[in-house]
Amino acid sequence: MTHVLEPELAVRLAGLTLRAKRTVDGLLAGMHQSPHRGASALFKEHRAYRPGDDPRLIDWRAYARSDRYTIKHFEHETQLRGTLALDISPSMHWGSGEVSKRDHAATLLAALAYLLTRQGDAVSLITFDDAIRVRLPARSGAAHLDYLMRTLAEPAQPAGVTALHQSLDKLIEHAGRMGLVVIASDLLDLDEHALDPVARIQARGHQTIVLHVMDPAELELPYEQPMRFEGLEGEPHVEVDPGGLRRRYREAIDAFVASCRRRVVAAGARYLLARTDIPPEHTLLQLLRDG
Amino acid sequence: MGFGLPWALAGLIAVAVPLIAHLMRRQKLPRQTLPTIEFLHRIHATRATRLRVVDALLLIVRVLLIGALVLVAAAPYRVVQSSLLDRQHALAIVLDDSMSMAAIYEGKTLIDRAAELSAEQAQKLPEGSEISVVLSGKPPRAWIRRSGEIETVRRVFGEIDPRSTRGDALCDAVRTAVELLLESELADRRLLVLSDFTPGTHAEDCEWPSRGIQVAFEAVSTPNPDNRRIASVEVVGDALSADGIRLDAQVLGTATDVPQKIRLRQRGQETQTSSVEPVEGGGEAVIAIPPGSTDAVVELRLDPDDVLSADNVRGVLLGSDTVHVLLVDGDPHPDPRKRETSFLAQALGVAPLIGRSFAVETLDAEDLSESAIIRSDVLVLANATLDEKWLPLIQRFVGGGGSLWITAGDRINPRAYGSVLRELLPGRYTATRMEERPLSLQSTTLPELQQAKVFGRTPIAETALDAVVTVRFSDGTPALVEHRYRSGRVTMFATTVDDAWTDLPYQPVFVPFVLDTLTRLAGRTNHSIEPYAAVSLPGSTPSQRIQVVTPSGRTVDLAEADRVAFRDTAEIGAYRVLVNGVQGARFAFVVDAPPGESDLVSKAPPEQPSRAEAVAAVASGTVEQPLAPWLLLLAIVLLFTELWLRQIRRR
Repeated sequence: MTHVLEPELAVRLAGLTLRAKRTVDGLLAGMHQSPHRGASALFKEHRAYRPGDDPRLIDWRAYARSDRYTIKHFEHETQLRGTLALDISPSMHWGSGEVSKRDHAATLLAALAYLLTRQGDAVSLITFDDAIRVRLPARSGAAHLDYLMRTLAEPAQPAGVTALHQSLDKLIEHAGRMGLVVIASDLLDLDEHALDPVARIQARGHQTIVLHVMDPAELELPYEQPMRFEGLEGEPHVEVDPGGLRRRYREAIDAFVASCRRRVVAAGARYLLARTDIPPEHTLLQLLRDG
Repeated sequence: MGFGLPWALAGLIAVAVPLIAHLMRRQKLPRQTLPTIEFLHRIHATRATRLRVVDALLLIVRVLLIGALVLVAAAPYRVVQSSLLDRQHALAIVLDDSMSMAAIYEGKTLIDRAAELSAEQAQKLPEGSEISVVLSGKPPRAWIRRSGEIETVRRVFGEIDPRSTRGDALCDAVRTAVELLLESELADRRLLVLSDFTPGTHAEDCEWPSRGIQVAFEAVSTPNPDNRRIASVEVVGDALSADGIRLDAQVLGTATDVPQKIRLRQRGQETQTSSVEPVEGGGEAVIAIPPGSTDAVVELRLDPDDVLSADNVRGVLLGSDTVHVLLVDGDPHPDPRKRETSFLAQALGVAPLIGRSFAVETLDAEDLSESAIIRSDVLVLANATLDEKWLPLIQRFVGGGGSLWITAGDRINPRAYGSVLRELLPGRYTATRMEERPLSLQSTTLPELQQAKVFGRTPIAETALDAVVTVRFSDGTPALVEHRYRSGRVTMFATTVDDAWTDLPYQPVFVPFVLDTLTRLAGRTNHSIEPYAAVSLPGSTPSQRIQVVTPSGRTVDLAEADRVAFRDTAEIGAYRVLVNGVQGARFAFVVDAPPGESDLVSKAPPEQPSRAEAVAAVASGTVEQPLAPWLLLLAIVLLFTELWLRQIRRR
């Protein structure tokens, strides 16, 4: 992959802005509202002091007037911290056409990184399979974006297997405070608890987006003649006539996709099916439009 | 179980095709990586066992399908007991009762064995069936015509003559049997042929039914085909020669350690025995018959007998080329040398010098007898006044094959000849006249006749349409006229055969003229016939008793008739004919063994026209039942099963 982010795509996405629905705290002031109370130019409200609140936030003037401990809240515009997670397991390196799922996912994440960087937000990148393989810390600026792009563009040798549960658990540790977490994966970890970490990511205050990257051939099994199907992650091969079991396969895949969607949404995150035969800008537009 | 086309079984190699295709398919399936293979595993896991079973069944079905088609091509059949096939059917049995089937094996003739097998087959016929039996000995006979009374039929098989001397007419018998089968209303028609299939049967030349009739062959043969026979006898000399007659007999067949002899039988009595000198392929024997024998026929018997005794006998005609001439002198001259019969006898006496043989008997007209006429081949009436009492006898004599030569003279009564024998004669004698100038004789075959001078003649007029004028007078009128009357010949000569009216008797040409004329007249019938052939013989009259003595010594009286077709000729050997107890040489005949019937080496029965068409009933009680229709049905079922399994597999 020589161009992760095609120039044409970068131009078309130039007018778009990414706004988080939820307030995130960030170290840098920006366009995003911070949920954190503290020193800021914009007063929001008073509330009664509760044990555990920082005593430095007590409004002593209000205490003088009312003889009650009151906390003064301000709204701050903060810098967004975006964490982009790319599944690089062997199954992601497969594609029925010219573009593999990994390439497609990298394109989507690069576009998001570009948007965030243009807004002055900090973007970090994590690649994983059954472990975290690469981790770029959250930075902003053109130099970091370039570095991030090159990392996405680097052809990685498939290794390991898809192990969502343990990889996402580790991702939580690296995602830091509340921010935006975008996970691009084919989710081909059929463990029923594989997506449980998504809920925990959400619980940490992140806004989580799961881009479920699927090849159309995976969804439709378009093959006609009997074939010897082989797995990419050590699964045993199977010789079948796909025509004879296409209907049942599609039912199983549809159920799998629906299950993934249901579990992600149940965790409070957003789910988006990213088919590799659908241009990435369409997927991004849908992501941003649905806000 | 057997196969009509066993070479087609080579096609069984084709059953390897699905096996190889199955293995090749496993090896050459296109490979496809698929990240979601786990889903295929989950789905396939529930089908895998079923698919393995279906695949195995498909493989088996395809192998069986190809195997079944190959077997169909090989025309398989199985041998089952015919009693299992209880369907009513029309059965025609062609039973060979020719002479070769009279060969003895383990105390029975082959005809006996074939009859027993036929009876067994008849007993196994289902109720309502019908049976026909055709005997193929010459001439072929429909022994039983489409009878449903099986038990009765079974019994009459025992009435077939086991000592047949017949020739073979298998093809005609098959044709008759097929006609009988086609007359049947039963749809299941079967033809069973029981024969030794020796070369004499010529079975390969028969027209075997190809459709609608199932044909089966049962070879009934002897494992010991060594058969000796008297193949030929050459007669050297004749009874008139000084050395008598020598018979050179040739014996064919494998010689045995037992010395062989040939016994000569004359008039039913054994008179000589001669040893057979072994030579390659048989033996030879010489039998000498002293001079003076008057036997027209003798018989040779080979001793000891072998598997086929019928051809160990051979009748031999002695002097069969000798013409018996009865010269009747109608005007005996006081000088015996001047008699017409004397001139004729002198001419005939030269005959042996030129290789011809005439036995001459001379009688005066008043001594003429019926038996003398019957014994002769040619009756010469030389200037004889015709006594009306002889007219019927002469007519019967000529009509039965005898020949008559009438020569002219002053004793000829033209009116009597013209009225009584008009039908018999080739022309009509007119009034005798003497010529003022001698005439000569003209003949294309004997030009020397023109040297003879004729002074008197009884001209011949009104010649018959079929008459042939072989000699003419120089004025163009007929001199010698011939024609046929029934089985005999009649010749008229317009002048004398003495020197009364002509000097012909003194001409050298007289001898060939007489010999040629008598030889032409004596054209003989064949005296050697096959068994069961008819011989035309003169019938008895109130005053003349005709009897035939068979080789076994049996005497058969012939009925009163002009001619009798004698058919009691089953025995091989010499037949003598007695005229009032005296041997009539002219009628002796021999019956020879049918050609080809002495060779007992069996050939393979002919190929059946269509093995697929023929469910062959054989005399052993079994049938060859074709399996191709069932295999074809199985192949169709397998084909549909294969299609069904493929559908199952795709679900």
